[in-house]
Amino acid sequence: MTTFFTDVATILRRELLRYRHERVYLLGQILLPLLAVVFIGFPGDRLGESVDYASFLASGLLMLIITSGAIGGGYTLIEDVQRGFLRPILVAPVTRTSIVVGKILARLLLSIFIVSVMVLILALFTNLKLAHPLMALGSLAAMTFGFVGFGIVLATSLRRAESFRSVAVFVTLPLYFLSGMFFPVQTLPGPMRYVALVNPLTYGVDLFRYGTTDVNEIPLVADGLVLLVFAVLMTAIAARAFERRLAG
Amino acid sequence: MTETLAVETGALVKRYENVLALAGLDLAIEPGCFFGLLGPNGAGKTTAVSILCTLLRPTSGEARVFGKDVVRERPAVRPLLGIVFQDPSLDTELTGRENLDIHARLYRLPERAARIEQALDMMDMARDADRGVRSLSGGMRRRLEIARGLLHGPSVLFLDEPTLGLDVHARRSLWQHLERLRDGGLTLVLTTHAMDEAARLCERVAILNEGRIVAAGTPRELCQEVGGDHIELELDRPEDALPLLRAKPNVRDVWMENRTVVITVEHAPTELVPLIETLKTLGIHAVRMREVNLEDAFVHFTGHKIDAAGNLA
Repeated sequence: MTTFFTDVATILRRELLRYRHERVYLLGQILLPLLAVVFIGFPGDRLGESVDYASFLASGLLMLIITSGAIGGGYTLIEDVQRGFLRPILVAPVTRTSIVVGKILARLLLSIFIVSVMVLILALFTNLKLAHPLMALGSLAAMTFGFVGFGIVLATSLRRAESFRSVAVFVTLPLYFLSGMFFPVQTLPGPMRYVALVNPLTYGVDLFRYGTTDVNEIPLVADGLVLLVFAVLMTAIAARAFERRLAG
Repeated sequence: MTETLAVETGALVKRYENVLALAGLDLAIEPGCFFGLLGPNGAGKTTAVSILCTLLRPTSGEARVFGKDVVRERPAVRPLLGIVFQDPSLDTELTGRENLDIHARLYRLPERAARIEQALDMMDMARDADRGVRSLSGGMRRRLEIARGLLHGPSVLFLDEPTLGLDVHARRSLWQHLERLRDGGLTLVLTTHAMDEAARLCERVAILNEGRIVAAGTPRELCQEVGGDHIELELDRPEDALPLLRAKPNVRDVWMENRTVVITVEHAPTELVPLIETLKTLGIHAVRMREVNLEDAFVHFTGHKIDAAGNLA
């Protein structure tokens, strides 16, 4: 078990060393939600006086960045396998699960960094704040584990980059729109609301929004349970899919 | 079996959808040997190395490294292996030293810094170790990859086409560095389509063609098996020489290489004068004699010539 954590730490270290050079990417990750809040959030604020739409949207957009980044992260792991970048690690005496977990943890640290910077910036002109940091972190962790896993599973079944992209958009757009990211789940019409309630992202968004704005629609216990199951399940499925992909 | 072989395969088969990459490979490599696996592109060299390195599962057959099965005993095999892949596999975002450090951690080595220093020294890369890999030349990257492959003290080092894409100077330098490893007792398995490389580095070679070993032995044995000498002639009208030469009983083989006529005979010194007599009307510019080399042996055993890029010509 200690070797497992040593290996995870090594994979994590490698990823972090690689991130050093991704400054443009990081900047993009930070600028995109910022612009969205400015262009959509503030005009949206005028729709109704009772909702603080800018803060609502800001927290939702942060989740969007985190989940889409996580799916992309899962994809790059498989892409690395295809391009052969991972071979030196694959011939080393480390388990496949430790590679997957190390990759996900690296993504999580990146997410924490992006969210921290974003919250600091957005706090200047919205009501976003770290109301419940642990709740925000919990949501972040569950979403990262779950959606990196999702990306891995998707990428192992769709080997060509083009098919991955089109299917990813097809699958994720409804997930995003029916998650309470942009509008409260309560405002969705009947059938859509049911879809939203089986969408794990809904619970991630809800918990994260509670963590960053102190507002939530769903009981926190429900959020926590759904997210825990989602994260553990997706990680396990992803580790299996990864192993099977390598055996082929 | 008296001694455990470094590498041993039995009837190894690998089939991709409808391509047979390995058609029953039998290899036996002694510990401490510098072994060359020769063949044109697509002969199955990389497939064989991938299976031996636990990255690919064979369709059938057996493969062992120091007595350990590469499919069933993967965790036991992996620490024994060092490998330099055909395609570059360094992290280009990292420095050389960082690449080696990650590698040392993956093998959970003690005294990482000292080992890294030693491996870098061996490949003369200590001075450039803190540069980003992106800024290094092809030859330097290769040496860094070899340093990485040696870092954990493997029992077998696989080098898959190590000088592919390197210029002449970098190739020579790499060969010199590899020759230094000979005294360490390391087993080296080198795949290459460059016969000069194999002749220089390898004590034993096996020629792989269409997924099968077609000849094996020391380079000298293979040349002797082919036998004979070569006479090369530059002529004004080489096309006209071929039918004349083919009719001669003492000429074993005749072919053209870039407008040079190459003839195989049993013993060049006695055959030379009669041959020149036959061809003197065709305008002889140059005559050269040489012994059979590994490249000729390769042509003999595979029935193909191979070009500089490793493709069948």
